[in-house]
Amino acid sequence: MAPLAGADRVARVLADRLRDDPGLAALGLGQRVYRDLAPARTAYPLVVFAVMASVDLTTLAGAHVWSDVQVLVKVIGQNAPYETLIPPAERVAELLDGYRFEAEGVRAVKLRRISSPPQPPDVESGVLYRYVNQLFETEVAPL
Amino acid sequence: MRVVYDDFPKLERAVVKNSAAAVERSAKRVADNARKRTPPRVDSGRMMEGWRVEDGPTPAEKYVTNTQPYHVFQELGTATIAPHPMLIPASAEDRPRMVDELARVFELHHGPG
Repeated sequence: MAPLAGADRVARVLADRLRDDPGLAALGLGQRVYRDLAPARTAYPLVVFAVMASVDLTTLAGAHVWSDVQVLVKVIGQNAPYETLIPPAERVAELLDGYRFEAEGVRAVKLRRISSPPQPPDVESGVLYRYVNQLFETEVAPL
Repeated sequence: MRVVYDDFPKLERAVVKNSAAAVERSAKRVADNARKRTPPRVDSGRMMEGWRVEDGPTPAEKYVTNTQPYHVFQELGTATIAPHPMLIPASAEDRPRMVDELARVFELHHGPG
């Protein structure tokens, strides 16, 4: 497994886990889970996630052993108070914190929420956006 | 007559001093790496040159900050901007080296565990 493929596979597996969860859908997110950036003119709230770091551990001979992968998961609301964003963010934490999987040729050892990076709201074209962010980390090894 | 030497205060000072130095070296590397990852699409270059290492509440704690508050929106992304990771990967990349340097500080003063 090439190291970069590991982070990409983690991202895709996590996206499927969030997108397929009826709990998140019931909280008003539907299946709006996007990587890096949500499409224009989509409904809110939604989830955007991004691979933020992938640090490889290699042997002295250059063989890839595992990667430490960090994924940022953001719940974004449009003209919405934080009270409406906390329940989906908590559901994201329930789904991902402690999650481990073997899929697509990789083993994610165990996801852990390592921080909740605060982010001030911003206004874009007169629309207020608020963010609840969580950063997860796992070691990813080839199967 | 029995002579007793108490070297623990001296040992403690040495550990604090050397671990603080290791943390400071790490913080400087993280700030430099974050600067290299800062997107070149900036107009003024203030964010790229704005990475700083600041003292934390104890000698062994440092903060890596940026003078431009909007770096948060670049790092984490917004509803209309994709994340552009700078500080988070810089910190993650340096962690093994910092842990290794701290381990050497403790091995130096306490011997291998």
